[in-house]
Amino acid sequence: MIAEKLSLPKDVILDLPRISVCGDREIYIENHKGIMEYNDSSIRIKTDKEVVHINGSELRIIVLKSDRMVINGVFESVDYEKIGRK
Amino acid sequence: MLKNTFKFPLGYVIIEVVGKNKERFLNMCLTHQFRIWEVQPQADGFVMKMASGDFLQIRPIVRKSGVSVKIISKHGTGRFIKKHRQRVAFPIAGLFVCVYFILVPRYIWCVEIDGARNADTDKIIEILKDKGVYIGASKKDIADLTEIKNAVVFGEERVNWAWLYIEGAKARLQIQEGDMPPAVKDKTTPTSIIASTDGFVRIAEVKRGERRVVTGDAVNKGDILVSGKVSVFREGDPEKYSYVNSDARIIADTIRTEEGIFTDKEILRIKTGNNKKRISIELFGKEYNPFGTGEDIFESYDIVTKNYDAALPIFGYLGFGIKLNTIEEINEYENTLTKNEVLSRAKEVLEERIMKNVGKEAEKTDEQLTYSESGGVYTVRLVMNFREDIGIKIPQEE
Repeated sequence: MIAEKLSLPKDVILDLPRISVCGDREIYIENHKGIMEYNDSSIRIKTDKEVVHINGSELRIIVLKSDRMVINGVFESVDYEKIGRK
Repeated sequence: MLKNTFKFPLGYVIIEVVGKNKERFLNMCLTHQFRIWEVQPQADGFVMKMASGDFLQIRPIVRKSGVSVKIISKHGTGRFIKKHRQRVAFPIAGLFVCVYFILVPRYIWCVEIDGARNADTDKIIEILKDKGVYIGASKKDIADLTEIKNAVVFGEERVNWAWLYIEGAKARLQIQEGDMPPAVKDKTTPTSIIASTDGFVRIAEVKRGERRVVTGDAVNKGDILVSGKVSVFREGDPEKYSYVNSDARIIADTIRTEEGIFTDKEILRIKTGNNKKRISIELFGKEYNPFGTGEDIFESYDIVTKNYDAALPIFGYLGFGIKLNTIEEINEYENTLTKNEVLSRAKEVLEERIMKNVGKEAEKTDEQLTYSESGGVYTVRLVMNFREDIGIKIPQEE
């Protein structure tokens, strides 16, 4: 609400993840909280309130920093799961 | 590639992490701000790259997360030196490169002049040489660029502005040429005015000097129109003359003629699309062709050259470069021109020849083009009528 009223970016105010998808080949994620699962066809990334689930093939984490990561591969879907539900 | 180049000097290890809590290991590495990248999943773990400095600190994390870590390979400058320490050629080559980078930019290996159209480049090169700018000269001896600029500007009159840029091992003189200023009119030397061509005088306005022609006179080339020797005595008195710098406006109707022989054949040069590339090496201003010039490949050809100078941001030109010469095959065809095309081209050529000799502000009043043709060879004659100033000054002997 406050973010909307003040026209502030929500990812800053609410600590939400910022996800940029480049076609089906590259995903850039900011504000992540860690990796929950990682294999060749699936990556589950923890964020503040949910888990981002990326499905695809040949998935590779090219850049991995405490606040951001870049994933390469061929993506099929990006899903959001509430924390605590799998 | 670029990232790896920057990461290489500090060193990194490629490690394999195996265990149940491998994701936890990753997250703990992130928490500790360890530098990891290119994480690839394997059958029962990950393979990743980690900075060498950080790898030395992972023992507590490994113990806590319960994974096992194995080094697959080590990379970096230290590792590289250790691995190749038996090879003598490496340090020698490294030393040579260092010496090259230190020594070469200290000297001038190439002198270039940009912007010269009509200026005498040989003269400019001589001037630069006098000022210590030549191939092999030490850059530290080139002290005052303003002095060099002044020497060039005052030494070569066609140059209006110049500046010397030192770009690594290259000295590039940028010049700006200007139009020559008109010479200051000398109004003291005695002169006469003569006819530059045959003509029929229409206007004869004499400001100084003794008139020899009037409107309506016919004059031949070389006739005196206005004399600088002016008689200043009365009849019966001793002869006495005053010598003046003649000034007059003598406008006459003139006829100028030019003749030439032209054929109806021309050679067209058309690219076939076949070409060969040859690389030549430019080393300290001299060109070498290790692969040949390629000029013997085709019977007829054009050469297009592209230069690639080796340069670095800090060092500038490094004293060498390559030239890519593209030798393009040309087929020559003989083309037959129509009569109108021949005459049109002939007229352009003859007109240009005539206009070189015509006085300033001449007005064309008429022209006639006549020709005779025999077996494709045209003898063309152009006659042009002008109304022009025919007076030219010559010194008057006292």
